[in-house]
Amino acid sequence: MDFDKNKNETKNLEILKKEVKNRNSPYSQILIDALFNSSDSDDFRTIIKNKVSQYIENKVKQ
Amino acid sequence: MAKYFIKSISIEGFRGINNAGAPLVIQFQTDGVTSIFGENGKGKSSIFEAFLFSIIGRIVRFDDYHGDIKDKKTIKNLFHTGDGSIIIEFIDESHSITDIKVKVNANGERSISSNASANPEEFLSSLNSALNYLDYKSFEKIILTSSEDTGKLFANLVGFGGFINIKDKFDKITRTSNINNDFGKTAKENSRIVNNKRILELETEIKKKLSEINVDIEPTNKTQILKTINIFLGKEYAIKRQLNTKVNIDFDGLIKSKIGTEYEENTSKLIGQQDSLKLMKQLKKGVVRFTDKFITSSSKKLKDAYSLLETPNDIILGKLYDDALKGYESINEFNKNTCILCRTENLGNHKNTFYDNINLRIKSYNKFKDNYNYFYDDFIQKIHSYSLIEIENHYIDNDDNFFTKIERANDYIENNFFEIYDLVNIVLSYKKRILNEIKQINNSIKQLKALIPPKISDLVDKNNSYMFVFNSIKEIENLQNNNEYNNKYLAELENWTTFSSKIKDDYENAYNILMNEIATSIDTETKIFFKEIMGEVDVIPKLRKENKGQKVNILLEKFYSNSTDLKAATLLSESYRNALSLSIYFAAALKSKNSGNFIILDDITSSFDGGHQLFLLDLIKRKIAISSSNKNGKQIIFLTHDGMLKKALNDNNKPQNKWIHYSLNSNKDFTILKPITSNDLRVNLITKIKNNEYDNSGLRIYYESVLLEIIENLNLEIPFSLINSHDEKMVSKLILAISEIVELKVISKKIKSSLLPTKNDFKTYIQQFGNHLSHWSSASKSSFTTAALIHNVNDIDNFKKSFQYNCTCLKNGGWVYYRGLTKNPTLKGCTCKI
Repeated sequence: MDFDKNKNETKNLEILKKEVKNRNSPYSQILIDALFNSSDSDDFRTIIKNKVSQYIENKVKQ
Repeated sequence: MAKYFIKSISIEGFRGINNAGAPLVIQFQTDGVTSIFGENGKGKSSIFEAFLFSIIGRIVRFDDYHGDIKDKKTIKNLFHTGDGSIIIEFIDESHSITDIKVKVNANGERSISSNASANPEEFLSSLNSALNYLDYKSFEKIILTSSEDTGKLFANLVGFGGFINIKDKFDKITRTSNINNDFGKTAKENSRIVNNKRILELETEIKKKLSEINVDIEPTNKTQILKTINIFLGKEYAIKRQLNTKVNIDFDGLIKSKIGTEYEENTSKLIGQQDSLKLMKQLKKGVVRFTDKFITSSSKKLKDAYSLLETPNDIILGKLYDDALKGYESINEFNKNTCILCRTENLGNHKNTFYDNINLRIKSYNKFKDNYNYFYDDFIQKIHSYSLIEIENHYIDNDDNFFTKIERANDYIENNFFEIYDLVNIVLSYKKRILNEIKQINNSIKQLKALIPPKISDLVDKNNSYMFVFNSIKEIENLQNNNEYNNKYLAELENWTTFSSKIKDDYENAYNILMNEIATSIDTETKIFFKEIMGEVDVIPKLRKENKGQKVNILLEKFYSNSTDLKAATLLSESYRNALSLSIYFAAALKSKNSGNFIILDDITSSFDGGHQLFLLDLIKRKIAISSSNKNGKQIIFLTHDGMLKKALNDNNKPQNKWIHYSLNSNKDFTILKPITSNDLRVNLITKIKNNEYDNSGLRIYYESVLLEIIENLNLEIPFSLINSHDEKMVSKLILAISEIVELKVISKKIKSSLLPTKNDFKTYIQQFGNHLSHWSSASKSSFTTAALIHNVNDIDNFKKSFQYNCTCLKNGGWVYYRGLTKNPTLKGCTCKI
């Protein structure tokens, strides 16, 4: 992951988003959605907790 | 990305600026510097706050205020009727103008609109950067805080504040304790351990039970065990079906129907005794565990607690103190603040040895009691977890109630009776009782078996054993299923934690490289700017981003005899710290890509002496402000109250310098960019009277203004302290002072007496104004008629005119104050009337 001091914050955060997507993990989209749609770190943690545990439970039950 | 500059601001009814119907309008030098000088209380910071409130949506300095002292109702001007209003015009490089209209209501809430921008919120958000606004309280923070917070402020300054939020988010989800809480990781791991332990226990019991009925099958061989139970059920109860763990078998019902009524009672007793034996064996295990390690550690804790007491009497003293406190507390109106016994700290500095001793002993006792309570809670918890209460309920007489004794533990303290060894002995005696019970139950089982024919007794044994084995196998199966679920869950959770941790590490590395590059890139400018403000000094600042976390260190390069860099905060004095903060700030601002190409500075010179203030001003002018020779510079809006800069700012106020300078003047009604005269106040006063908006203070302000104007224009030697007094009778005192100085001047022939009011005239004025004022201060607003108020204004005007002459050729009828008091005024080509 490389950020660029000559780019603004928004552009650099796009780099992060792209990087997470490129990892091709089932968790990539969950992480991106939570990172960019949460109001603060507590909100982010709650979203991750709900989405990730839901994903794991579904997978284990299969 | 377009660059925006501030073209103008118009303020009405916001903070210290009222200006009802006549907003304060300031035009800015978009390609240079605009400086605004205003003495304290003239509304300078209100201008700064108007920008912050409009662009950011809040008044930033309020962030540091505790909720108790914050009142948003003060955002709108308190004297202003209706909403407050701020209009800002932004202009970009192509001269296109974007207007932002901000309304603030009585609750301090903001609403925004714009003619030019479809989305004014988004437009303002694009201009929102910490680099655009700086006041004297904010910039020192970057040095005087932890390295971690400096790092956060630094990231904000250089336009990457959002990165900190992302980092905080990553930190939250990768913290081990949070993973445990959110996904129950540790609970699931512990559950596996407990399940496996229980499975082992059950398998051991299964093996034992099977061997008791001479069946030799490994407890893990579930298929073979079920097959054997199936054969037993078919042979004894004629049940023929494929047995599995999903079905329920009523072993008790089956055996009862098989043996009939003849042996029913004894058989039931036998089964009951066998159940009791099982329970007692479990309780025995609990007692054995309880007497081991726990007793040793509890004993040590209690001994440590005892060691805090100097003598056993300390317990009694402490107990007395406790009782006294309870006694006092039972009296409703008792004042604890004046009770020495209740609060030993009430003794203050008057403690003598006696009270000191009492105080020390009570402290020891309280520490002992804390430790004792800790021990007590721990002990009770263990008793419950080892089911000792069940033993007592079933087998111990009430007369010998151990738990009642424990619950009255305070009595043990009082009587100095409580000893840990008593507890050990009590628990050991319980163990003996349990062993005795086991022995008795075994005897009872033996006797019951003797009453039942061996065939039936064997069947009962087999039935009970198979029942236990079958139920145990079912339990093991459930535990194994639970383990399997937990294993899969934890394995998948590991995939998530590996994924999120790796992203977090990669993100942090990239973030740290970025911050390091930025810190390095502004390091040179920071050094240059610091030197420009402070001159040739020994210290050279240095910015260093640490490789881990968010820390940024502000250091001083090694100098004198030091072989390492020094931390800047502790070595530097306030002015040096501020010079360094400003240098970092300016260096960062010049690198900023934010579309708001302006910097608004409020009172940044406060901590500098006159010389350094001029150095700072010079730096801003040459290297920070935009100009033909510094095209990457920023539009500067410079607000100051510093009188020492007045001349320098005025000198710069030239179009060729790309510099506009304003002086701010105000009273509670209006703020303007030129000196306020008594005529300005008069116009405002008459308007208010005619609009029926007179608010009781206008006349007094006008009186005072006229008197001060007379003193200033006629150069009367009135003491400064009197002019600035806030005395209720200041107007009368000023008139009297003017009268006396005029009289002195007449006597000393420094004044031509015929030009000015006589002593009697002054007396009349004092009386007349005294009446006005006393009426003003005592009467309500409604008692004044418009005509009476206008009459009062005219009286003041007439008084004022008695110190002026009138020349017809001058503007507005030409009333002018006497410049000299010794001769009649003359003006060429003009008729002048005294």
